[in-house]
Order: sequence, then C-alpha cells, then structure tokens
Amino acid sequence: MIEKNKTEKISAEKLNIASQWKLMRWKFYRHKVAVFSLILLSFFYFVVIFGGFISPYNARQNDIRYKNAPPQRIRFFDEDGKFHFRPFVYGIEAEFNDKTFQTLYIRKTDVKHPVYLFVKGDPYQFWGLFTTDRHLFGTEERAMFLMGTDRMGRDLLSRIIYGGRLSLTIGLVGIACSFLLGITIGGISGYYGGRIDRFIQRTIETIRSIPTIPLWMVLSIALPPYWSVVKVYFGIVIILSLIGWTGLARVVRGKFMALRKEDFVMAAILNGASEKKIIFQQLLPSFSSHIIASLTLSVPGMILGETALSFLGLGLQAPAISWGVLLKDAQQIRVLANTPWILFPGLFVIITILAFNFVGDGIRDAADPYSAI
Amino acid sequence: MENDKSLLKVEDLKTYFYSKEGTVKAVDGVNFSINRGETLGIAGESGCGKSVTAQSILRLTPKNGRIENGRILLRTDEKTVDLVSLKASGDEIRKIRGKKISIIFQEPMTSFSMVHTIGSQIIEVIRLHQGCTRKEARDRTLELLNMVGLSAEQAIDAYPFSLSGGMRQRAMIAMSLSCMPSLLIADEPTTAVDVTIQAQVLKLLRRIQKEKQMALIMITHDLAVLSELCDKVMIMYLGKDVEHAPTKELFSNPKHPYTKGLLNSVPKLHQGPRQKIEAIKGTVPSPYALPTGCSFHPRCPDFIPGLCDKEIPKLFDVDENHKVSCFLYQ
Amino acid sequence: MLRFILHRILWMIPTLLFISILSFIIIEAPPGDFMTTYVSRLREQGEDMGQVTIDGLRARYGLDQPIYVKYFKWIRGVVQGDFGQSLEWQRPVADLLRARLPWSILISLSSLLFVYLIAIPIGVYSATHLYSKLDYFFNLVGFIGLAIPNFLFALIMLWFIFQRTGNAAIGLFSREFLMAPWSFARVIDLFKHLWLPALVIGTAGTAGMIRIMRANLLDELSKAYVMVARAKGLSERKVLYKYPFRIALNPVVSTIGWTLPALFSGEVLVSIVLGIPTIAPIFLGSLMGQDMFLAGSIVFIMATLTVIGTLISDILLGWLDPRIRESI
Repeated sequence: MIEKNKTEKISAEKLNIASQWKLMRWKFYRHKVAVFSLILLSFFYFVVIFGGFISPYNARQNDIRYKNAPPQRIRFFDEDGKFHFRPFVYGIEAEFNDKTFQTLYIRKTDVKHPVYLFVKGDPYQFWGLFTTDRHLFGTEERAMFLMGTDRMGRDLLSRIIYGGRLSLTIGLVGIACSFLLGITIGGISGYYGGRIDRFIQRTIETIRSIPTIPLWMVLSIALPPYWSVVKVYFGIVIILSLIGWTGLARVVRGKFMALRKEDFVMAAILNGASEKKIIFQQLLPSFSSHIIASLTLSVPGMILGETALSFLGLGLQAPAISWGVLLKDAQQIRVLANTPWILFPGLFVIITILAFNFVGDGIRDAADPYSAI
Repeated sequence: MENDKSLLKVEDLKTYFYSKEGTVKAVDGVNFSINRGETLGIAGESGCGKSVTAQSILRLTPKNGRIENGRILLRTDEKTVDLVSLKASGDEIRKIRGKKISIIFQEPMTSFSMVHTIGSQIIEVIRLHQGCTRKEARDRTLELLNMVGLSAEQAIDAYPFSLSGGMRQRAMIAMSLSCMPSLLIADEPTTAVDVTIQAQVLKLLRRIQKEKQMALIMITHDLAVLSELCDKVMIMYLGKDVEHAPTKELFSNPKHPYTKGLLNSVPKLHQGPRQKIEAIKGTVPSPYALPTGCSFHPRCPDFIPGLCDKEIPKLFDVDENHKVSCFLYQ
Repeated sequence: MLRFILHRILWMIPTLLFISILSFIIIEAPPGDFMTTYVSRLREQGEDMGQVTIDGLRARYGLDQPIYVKYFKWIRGVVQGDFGQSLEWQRPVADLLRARLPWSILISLSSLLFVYLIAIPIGVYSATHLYSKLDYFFNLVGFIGLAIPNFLFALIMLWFIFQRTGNAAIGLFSREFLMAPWSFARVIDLFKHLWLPALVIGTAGTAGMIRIMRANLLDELSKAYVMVARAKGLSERKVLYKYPFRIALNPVVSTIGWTLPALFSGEVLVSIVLGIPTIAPIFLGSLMGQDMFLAGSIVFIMATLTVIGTLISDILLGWLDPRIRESI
C-alpha cells in the first residue's frame, strides 16, 4: 500500500517537474534579448567547432607582404557604383613612407579579388580526422583580411576564430569543474549544517576576501613553464575553478538551507528515505533551474579570468592562441595606435560576456516562479 | 451635505487597478457615510475591496491604482473637502493624513521601520502635525504609549523587532492616535495577532473610541468583531456594497443572499457541536472576468434567471437604515 | 556597540590566520625557488655559479629549512612589520610596500567612492522610475559596463588619450609635479590624473551596485511601513529617504566585503595597463621573476586590507542597523 503510494507520488512529481520546465522555457522565450543572445552564442560555438573550415586562413600562416594590414570590406559595388554579382575585395599594397617610417596600405581599385565559397587555401586537419584545404569562403590568392592582420601578417579573423576555441571553451570547462566542487561542498555545507557548515563558510569567506586576479596570477605561475598548451589550458581551468566554486557553493547552500525546512523534504525524511536519495531525488531537481542560471552567470568571470591572465602573459602563452593572447599584442601603445584593429578580439570578449549575462538573466527570471514578466 | 451631520461621506467610489493582464475594478461604486463617534464595520471576503476602500479614502492606493469616479467628502471644523479632488501626494491631503484621519494596517510586523525606534516614529508624526518641540512631542508619546497599555519608558526607545506582535500593534494604535484624529480606520488590526491579543486590542480600540468620541471604520472579515464593536455594518462583495444595516438588524435579519451565506458559514455559540455549517457554493470569480449583472449571481441560491445575470441591482431600501442591492427586495 | 565591534574583531583572527597560511603556501608553491630562477638566469648570461655558492646563498636566505619553520619565521617577521627581503630588488619588502601601497589604496578607494557616488543615485532613480526610458538605458549601460574587461577598457582609454595628446604614460602626476614636494597644486594635479583609473576600475562595480540598489529599494518600497509613513502625512521625499532608502543602503554597505577584492583586482590590471606606479607592476614583476617573498606579501597585504575593509563595513552596518548590532 505504502509502496503504491510512493510510486504514485513520484509520477505526480515528474509531471509537476515537466510542466515547470515547460513553463520556464515559455517564460524564457518571452525574454527577447536573452533568446537573441542564446542564438548568438550558439552561432559562436558553431563557428568555433568548425573553425578550421570557416576561418579563411590558417591562424599561424604569416605573410610578409601583408604586415599590419587594415581590415578590408567585402564589396558588391565597385568605385563606379557598378553592381557585381560575385562579391570581391580590392587589392592592397604596402607603401613605405620614409618620413614617418611607417608602412601605409593603399587600396588598388584596379585589382579585384573575387570571393568564392568552398575555396582552396591553407591545409588543416578537420577534427583530427583528415586533412583538407577547403575553406568556407575566401579569395583564390591570399588577399582577404576582413579584420586586418597582425605584425606578422597573420589574418586576424582566422586568429580570432582559432582563439575562440580556447577562450570560449575554457569558460565551459571551468564551469563544469566549479560546478562539481561547488555543488559537492555547498551541498555538504547546506545539508549537514552545524560545525561542518561553519567551517566551510569560513573557508569560502576567506577565499572570497582575497582579490581574485592577484590570486589567479600567483597560482598561474605555479604552472611549470615546460608544460604543453593542452596542459597549461587545463591548469588554467583548474586555477579558475579553484576560486570560482565559492559563489556556486553559496547558492547551493542557501537553497539547501531553505529547502531543508520545506514540507516535502521533511516528508521524505519521515518516510525513511536515505540522505543520498533525498539529495539527489528531491533537493537537486527542485532548484536545478537556479543552478543553471548561476552557472551561466559565472561563465563570463571565467572567460574574463583567462583573458586577463593571458593578457598579462601569465596564462596561455604565445604559440597558443586565445583572445587574451591576441590582446597581449595591444599592450604596446604604439602598436595599438598604429593598428587599432588588434582590439577586435576584445570586441568578441565583450559580446560573449554580454550574451552570457543576458542568457543567465533570462534563465534566472524564467526560473523565478514569482517574477511576472 | 451642509445639513448632513456625517463626518465622512463616500459617494459612488470607484477605484480601478491597471496592469498588463487587464483592469481590476477593486472598488466599483461604494456608498457609505459615518458620523462623529460612530463605528462602521466593513466586512467581506478577502479581495472584495475593503482595504482598497480604506486606502482610497487616504489616497494611498498604489501607483497602478486610480480613483475613477465618486466623491469622498470629509467634514472638518472649517469646511467640507472632497478628498478625491486633492492631489495624491500634495500638501492638503498630507495635512489630513495622520491628523484628521489615521489608519492602522494589518501587519504589525512590517508596519514600523525596523531601524528606527518606536518613539522616533511616533514623535515624527506629532512634530509634523503639531509643530511642537522635541521634548513636548516625547512627553506626548509617553502619554500615548501609557494609554495603550505599554510600559512607556521602555517602549519609547525600543526597536520594533524587540517587541511582540501584540505590543507592536498597541504601539501602532498609539501612533495613529497621536494627533487625536476625528476618524480612525482600522484595516484588519487583529488578523495577524494571537487570539488573546485580539481581544485586548479590540477592547483598547473600543475604550479609546468611546473616550475620545472618535469615528471608527473597522475593516474585517471576522463577523464576531463586527457584532462586538460596530454600530452599523456594510457588507462588500467584489468591489460593491451589497448590504447596509445597523449591526443588530444585520445579524438578526440579513437580507442579501451573500450576507446570509456569510452568517451561515460561521459556527454560532450556544447551538451545540452538531450545528450545520453551510459554505457559500462556488468560489470568488477572477477579478479580471467579472460575471455580468449582479456579480454574485453564479453563487446565489435565489438567482432569478434573465434578471440577475442581465442587470446590475441598485441599493434598495428595506428599512430606513437597511439597504440591500438585490432584486429580491426590489 | 563596543561588544559588537570586539566580537567582529575576534571574528577576523581565524580568517587572517587562514590568509597568512595561504599566502605562505603561495610563497612556497612554485617549483624551485628564487635561486633556481636566479641561477638559470645567470646561466643564460653565460655566468655560472658553483654549487657551493648556491647552497651558501640558499642557507643565507633560509631556503633550505623545513616549511613550518619558514612559516613561523615569516609570520613572526610579518607581525613586526618585516616582510622579508625582496631578492629581485635587493631591498626589504616592507620598503617597497610603503612606497607603492598607498597609491594602490588611494586608487582603490577613489574607485569605491566613484562606484557609490554614481550607483546609489542611479539605483534610486531606477527603482522610483521603474520601466521608464532612463531605467532601461541605465540597465543597458550597466550590462555593457559589466561586460567590458577592466584591462580592455583601460587599453581603449589609453588609446584615446594617446591619439589626442600623443602621451602614452598616464601615471598619477604630470611631469612637473612628479618629483615636486607636496603642495596644493600637486594635489589638484593628482586628482586630475586619478579620475581615469577610478572610472575604469569602478565601471564594472558601478553596474553591479546599481542593480543591487535598485532591487533592494524595490523590495523595501513594497513593504507596509512605507504606506504607514505615507499615511502619517510625510512628504514623498521623506517617505522615500527616511525609511526605505535608509534600509536599502544596508545591503549596499555590506557588499563592501566583495566590492573591495574586485576593486583590488581591477586596480592591479588597470595600473599595469596604464603604467601607474602602484604595487601592481612590481607584483607582476615579482611573479615573473619568482620573487616570492614580495609576491606572497603583496597577496597577504591585499587580502588583509579587504578583511579590514569588510570589518569596517560590518561595523558601519551594525551602526546603521540595530537588528544586526543586537543579534550577537
């Protein structure tokens, strides 16, 4: 009899949860900016996953003919206002000025490089499966630099796409790590309460009282200099999440504390459910939406952390490409003044962080049963 | 109005709330009046517009609420003012609030600011309206706290969170009396306190009202409070006044089917444990989708098809002092 | 109140202890020690040191003792204001801190002031003019402010200033005041330079603070005591500022605890980018050169300062809110 009741209760609960998720999704869709941000982020990740194919060139391919070339535009109309069915870019040529000792590029309107789809270019490994040299779009000759080039003549757009591989994933991987730490420690703290809770809270308080950037900086030099890019990458992830878990742990703890007093948990305890069961079957599902919201909102911190560390030269380093590494070039003011387009990676950092914040906000609002949109 | 001796007279008051979901007609044509020294009870289920009526009198309705129609005439020594015509946060209404008309809200827990002492919050009102010195205001506050039965010396410098709910409600009464208003509105003053405290608070209110010859509007959903305290009663349902009667008359001879339902849904003393309690059938309809005609007709046992669901009943006189808005008494 | 303050100070001690241990772990954490770096650097330059000399130097700097001995030696020194010797600068760490730290603190406090001066009025406006055009505008600006990394914002500002003036060094003083003794004109000159780092560091914090202030005030405005205050006949101004505003400030004050670390973080990045001679550049240098006594001490000092900042905010909060004061 009791068994039967239990199964009935569980199926009823499932129904309840399903409708709650549906409700959330429905509410989220009404948050237009959040939906747009989610689409944008999906687009970014899509581009990064197919980075080798979508980027016009190899990110490490330098070209002395085009050092510090400014961004170009893809055109449909030429100087005379004539429409061309096939888009093209104008050719550019470097000209050295003996007075200012600067290289200036002049646009040569008589040279047009048509832009083709699925063009042949630098060879690359597609997901490590096979080698190919097809790119989504490009010119036959190496002449199209939509976001300019750096001091070695490397195409910045391609570098940004390659850099996104590290910068965009580091946030997610880092969040996964802090998620594990935060939910375990926060859960323990909130579920058991008492002394354990006080000890954990004190630890969290202490970690939070130390400014993060300096702490990250210090921890990052503990990474051995001879490590490979992959190792450093995971090292940075661990460093970022070693500190990042505290915020999440607090959220989880607070929720546990509040929920411990709720009737349905008490009912489960009285029914003789084991603690593990209570935590995983009752407590976690009931606030998973809040956890997703706080996870989304802590991704930007991770991305910012990586970018800042790499920018300072303490995180990922030169052969690796990340947005922070790319921005490091902008540290010299003269370089920045002459080639301001090297700030483009920064624009992508800002857009990504904005998008994550909007999505996180949208989820949080949708998850809050009392918010009226 | 000139030859009318009523202190406050409300005529066809309509207060609507506007939101994205639609318009809520919280108060939809209410009429009543109250004389000096008289006690009027306003009763009804929660959401019937009792509180909004009270807030409308003091022009305290939240931002999305607006008085759409009607007059609220307050007679003072000098002249009669229509409160509806005043600016909602202007000087004139502010001189009436707390001085001529005071209000006690139902939540004693949150009615005081937790970071100021009880004393400072009362002194503030006295100084605002009577322009006396700090010392005079403090003495007056002590007097008031004594009057409501608190140990004044302690209470005056206490923070609200260190007082119990009952003590806070007493302090609240002291504050509302600080300028000896001619009208006191008590909006469910006893719902949030213990039963034993309720009785004390009610007794206190009655005593002070008698002593000071104050008019009192008692808003409640507790019929026992009505019978205990009030001279006359107004019953409200979904923003409309459905019945007006002297208290005794109302309890002995209720007319409106809703009033009858209300009285039947409460167990009575001296009738033993086996009495039948009848709930009113159905539930209060959504305020966004009010029924046509008489808004009580879907729940009414005496519903007349073709009339009650088509037309809105006016107030009909049953007696000199007894009015009902129901077609049964047309 | 005194009891409350004492209680708070006692509360600090374990935190400080924890911080000191952490800082010391930092000092000891990197593989190898200063000598390893030093020796390898000398090797790069073609010089070589005998193993005997290296061991001698190790012993002299106490690099060969067990870790707990080193910790107690270090912490005893710290209590006496001796943070050890910077191996890179060949100067006591305390001297370096004395020369540089005040500028870091000044910049951080200026940005804190900036955050509050901007965020509180905007938060109040947004809460009292909910869903107005300006409310949306501030919300958008806030989102963007949160999204721009400090150092990037600093770079952009630097670039603007360079384009306009051709001057790449921002610093804290104009050239003519750099070495000048203190005077009124020098202070004015300082303020002329201070606003930029304060703005850059404070922007992200301001955005966060506006949201907190707005949410708190909205919360308070819906409470019963607001209507009570209005029913007393108080003016709208007084109803807003005496009651809800005052209570909404409490959480704002209590967030100093996490605002300060964020500001210190920002200060480090921004000072490095703008080339301001605060503690930040030598901190970066010390990390690059594995001058761990200096690095660890700086972390220790920064964390201690935030703990003290939190203490001050706690006391302030206790003074503002009697519930907190009497809850112990």
